[in-house]
Amino acid sequence: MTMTPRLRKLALTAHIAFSLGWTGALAGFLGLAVAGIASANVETARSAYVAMDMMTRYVIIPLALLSLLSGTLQALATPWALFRHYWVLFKLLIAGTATYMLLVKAGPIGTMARAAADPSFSGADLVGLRYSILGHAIGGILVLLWTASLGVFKPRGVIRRGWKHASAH
Amino acid sequence: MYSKINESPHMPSEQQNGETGEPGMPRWAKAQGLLLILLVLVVIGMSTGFGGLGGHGPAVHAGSAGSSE
Repeated sequence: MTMTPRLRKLALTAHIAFSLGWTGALAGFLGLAVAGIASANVETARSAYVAMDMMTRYVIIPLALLSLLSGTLQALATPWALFRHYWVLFKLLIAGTATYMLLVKAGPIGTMARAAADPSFSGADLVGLRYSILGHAIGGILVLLWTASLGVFKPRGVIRRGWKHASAH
Repeated sequence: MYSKINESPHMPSEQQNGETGEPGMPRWAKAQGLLLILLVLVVIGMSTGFGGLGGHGPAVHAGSAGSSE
């Protein structure tokens, strides 16, 4: 399966847009997580956690899945291939792990939003969960920067199976 | 260590394809592979609530996760 140059550029543009969108949305999420912890105003914290839940479900998760899908298609339809170069495989595994973690954390984020929406919510509630969400947001951004750097530098290294495949042609 | 910039940076060069050299796992891949394994272990640990990092994993939130609709 190969793409025409025009289609390849279109697919690459889409992949970059989805991936950068994922990182940007996560940066916004991080800002809200900081506001939710640092703000002394309960209403600010409340609105931050409700917004974070909506961002997660309607922006971050769709972008993560689209980034993963577009990246996989991009690899399969170009000479890079999915299992020929270490950096491509690593990007897939890192992005897959990050997406899995995101899906796992969607539950606790929803729990936090529902707790924050409760009229009895106070600034001292669920402190552990709030710091956990903050930590995951920071970790998520670092992991996405890791995949971005692999995509930019494309470090050398061919997987044996891919090398055999390339040598056969 | 890193590939040279060529005319088409988004496509593999011949050398990157492995056609001009014996493959072997480079040092950067070994180092980042270890980091990746660590990341996967941390993620598994957190999602199962193991190692004191839990309390927020799916096992804990099984009753509430996805019930917001």
